[in-house]
Amino acid sequence: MSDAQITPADYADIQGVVLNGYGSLKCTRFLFLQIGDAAAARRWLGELRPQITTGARRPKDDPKPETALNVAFTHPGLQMLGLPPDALAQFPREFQEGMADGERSRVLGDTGDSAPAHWDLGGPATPVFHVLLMLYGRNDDVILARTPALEAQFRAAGLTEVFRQDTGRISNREPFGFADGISQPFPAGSPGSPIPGEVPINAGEFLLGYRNGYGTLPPSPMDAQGRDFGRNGTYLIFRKLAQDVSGFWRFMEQQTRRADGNPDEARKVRLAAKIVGRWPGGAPLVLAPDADDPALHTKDKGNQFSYMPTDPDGLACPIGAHIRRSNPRDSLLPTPARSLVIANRHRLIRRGRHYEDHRADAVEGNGVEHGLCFLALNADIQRQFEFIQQTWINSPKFRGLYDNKDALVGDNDGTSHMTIPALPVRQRINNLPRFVRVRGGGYFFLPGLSALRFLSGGA
Amino acid sequence: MAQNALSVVARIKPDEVAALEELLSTIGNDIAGNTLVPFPQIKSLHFACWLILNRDSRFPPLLVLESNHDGPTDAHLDELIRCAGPGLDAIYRKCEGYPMDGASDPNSLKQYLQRHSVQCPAFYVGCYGQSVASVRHAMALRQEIEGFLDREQDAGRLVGLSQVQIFQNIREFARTLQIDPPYTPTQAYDSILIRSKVNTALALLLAAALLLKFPRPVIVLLLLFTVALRWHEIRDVQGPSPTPPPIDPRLFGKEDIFTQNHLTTMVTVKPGGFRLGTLKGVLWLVNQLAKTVFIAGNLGGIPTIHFARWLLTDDGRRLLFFSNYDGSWASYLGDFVDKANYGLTAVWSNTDNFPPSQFLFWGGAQHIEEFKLWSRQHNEFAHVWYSAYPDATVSNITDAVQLRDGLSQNLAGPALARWFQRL
Repeated sequence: MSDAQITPADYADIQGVVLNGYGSLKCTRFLFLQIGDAAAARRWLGELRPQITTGARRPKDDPKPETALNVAFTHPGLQMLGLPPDALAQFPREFQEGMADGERSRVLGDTGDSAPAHWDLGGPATPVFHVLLMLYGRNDDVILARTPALEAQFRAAGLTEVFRQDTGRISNREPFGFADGISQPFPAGSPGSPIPGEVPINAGEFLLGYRNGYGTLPPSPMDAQGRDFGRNGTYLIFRKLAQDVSGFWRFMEQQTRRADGNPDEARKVRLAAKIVGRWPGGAPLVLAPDADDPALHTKDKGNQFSYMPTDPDGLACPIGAHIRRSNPRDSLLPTPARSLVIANRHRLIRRGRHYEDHRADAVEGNGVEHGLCFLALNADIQRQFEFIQQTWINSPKFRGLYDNKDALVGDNDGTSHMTIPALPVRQRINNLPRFVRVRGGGYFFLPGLSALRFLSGGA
Repeated sequence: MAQNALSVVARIKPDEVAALEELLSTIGNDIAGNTLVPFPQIKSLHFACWLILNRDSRFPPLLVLESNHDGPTDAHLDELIRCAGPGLDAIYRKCEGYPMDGASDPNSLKQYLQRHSVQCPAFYVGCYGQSVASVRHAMALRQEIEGFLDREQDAGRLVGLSQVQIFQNIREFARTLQIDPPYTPTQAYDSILIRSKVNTALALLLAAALLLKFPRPVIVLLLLFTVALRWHEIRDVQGPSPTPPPIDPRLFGKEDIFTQNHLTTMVTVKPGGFRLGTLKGVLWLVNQLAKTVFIAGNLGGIPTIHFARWLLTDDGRRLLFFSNYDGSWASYLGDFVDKANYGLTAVWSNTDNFPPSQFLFWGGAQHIEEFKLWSRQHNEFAHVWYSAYPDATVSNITDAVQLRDGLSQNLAGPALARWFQRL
């Protein structure tokens, strides 16, 4: 099915961040902007469009770019920019309502401290934003150097910056200390080839205008003339997630003390690994059940595994471990082969970056907060991002469990458990607190370049 | 004990619809604590719902009661009236034909409910043979065992013990336990699993025997049916279809509060005897399978349904579906498409606005976005929905029941290892 694949001719119409993780651009600045004047903002988009980084392949002789720029819009943002009402109404409900809507919080587990009322951005108490500008740079200096020109342009067009989030240099370890970003789905027809352990997935799972995992074309917003505004665009989920790193390790330490009350370093790390499903270095427990194995730290070796042949009962990697929930691979019902098909209908392209904030109310209480700017791309927010969050991560009933939420990132409240299958009998970790606090976020549409031209008032 | 379905369909007095909505809201907003219908006191009740159908002006306003209960319906009605007589009286007073002495005469109330009760053509039970008492007892017992293991592990008392020894300790502990109310199982869940397997084999044999014994009539009938069906399917795609109703925004506020959710789908049957006949035939088959093959907690691939039923109302012009299921709406609908789309398409392709189907089983629910939209548009908001055990999944219950069964069996070897995996 050719229309399930991206073709090289489309690369230049797709924003770069979809096809490219910008691994060599180590630093990021996210700018959240509010539109003041619609006509001026459309003109600004016209000026911005040629500066947007696309997925077009760089000719061999060209130097590696120092920076990259991408842009996305909220539903109110598209409305401000004058997208026709009939097209606006065709966007899915969750995108129209946004991440902070009352029922979404229940779906996403944004409760307690993590409720939108307490957010830094995107909540009811913070200024509305319409546009997300994502600036990537080889280092901080190039980001600093490029920012003033961007600022001058959007300010002149009546846009105001309502929130800014910088991320630090990307590293291979996320703040809790685990290797991250190992598995990554591969949209069919993308440049390059999938990492071992991944099969190409119909492009319609990650871009509008292509057949998805069901073999159907996802609905795409069109105007009265039948122009497809969605093609080569996708939905972007941004979440700022604060990680209580010291709280996490303190909890692991308390749960694994020796009989004499002294800490047991090896058992502490082992418990954390059971919660994640990988050792800190990245080796998956299903391949390395007893100790970390540096031979499995490479991206290809660390992603080439399935659960059911060797570990159907979770004795190596618990059923409720973070990576077995967020991508269950072959371990869902009814059969491993069917599970692989079903699991691939709920994948995300992950483009997260880590941040370090200095703030008085840091979650660790020491003035410095570490966390993740979670950034994910998918064609169906409800069926992909929200489904993973609700049915896999935060469901206490995942895969036959009773009262286990994801112990690493779930919305635990101090009462839930984590069952660790073992012989002769399971272990159970009780009274799990929440280690990851939501600081805000939003749902965006990341349009293709043609749609961007349409938005800016061009033909 | 067998579980049964009670469905009561009554016409609402047109000028009482608003008042009835208000009354049901009062009950629904305090499902466990309201005094009109004190649900938790009704011991035979698993799930119940009251639904007002008033969105389609072509039909009179209807009040539908869905009750999934233990034992004979007659005894359940008696218990309902005993526990919730005044509430039932207040509710059905707003419906047509209600005897005005209903409040003072339980018999006339019972006769009214019986007169308006409707047989459902297809009814599915997820946790076959498990009464409310059995479910609550098994879930409580499992929790006690988990707590016992936690305490033993914290105290280091399990170190070095084998599964056989730990199992013995658990049995000792369970023997001293007093769970209120007590419950003694009458049949092991294993026997239900075996029956399901035997029935599956018998059903396949029966189908093969029919085909081999009467090859020509069977094939000719199938061919004739297929031609007629395709003719209808092609005509349906070309013909006009009624405007689907708008999505009821009240649906969203009531979802995902507990582990379980409730779904009601109301659709009009496509006109003509062929469609109604096909629908009735498919529902008959679903019902037979639900009673014989799908008795092991899995309806044609979907493992998350506690109780479901299809109901024809308005002289067969409308089809109503009720389901009490685990997890979110999105995951349930996803399961429909991922695991059970053929069966669902065979039922709902006979109704208006369903995504186009081919040869009864294909197409339809395979179009995930259209199917989800169709479902949302035809979902009805239920003012009242009750579950006796809102945080237990089908898988939790069948698991806990088998844990309990194991305590009275002398398990060893692989069977004992499997028992431990349920913890």
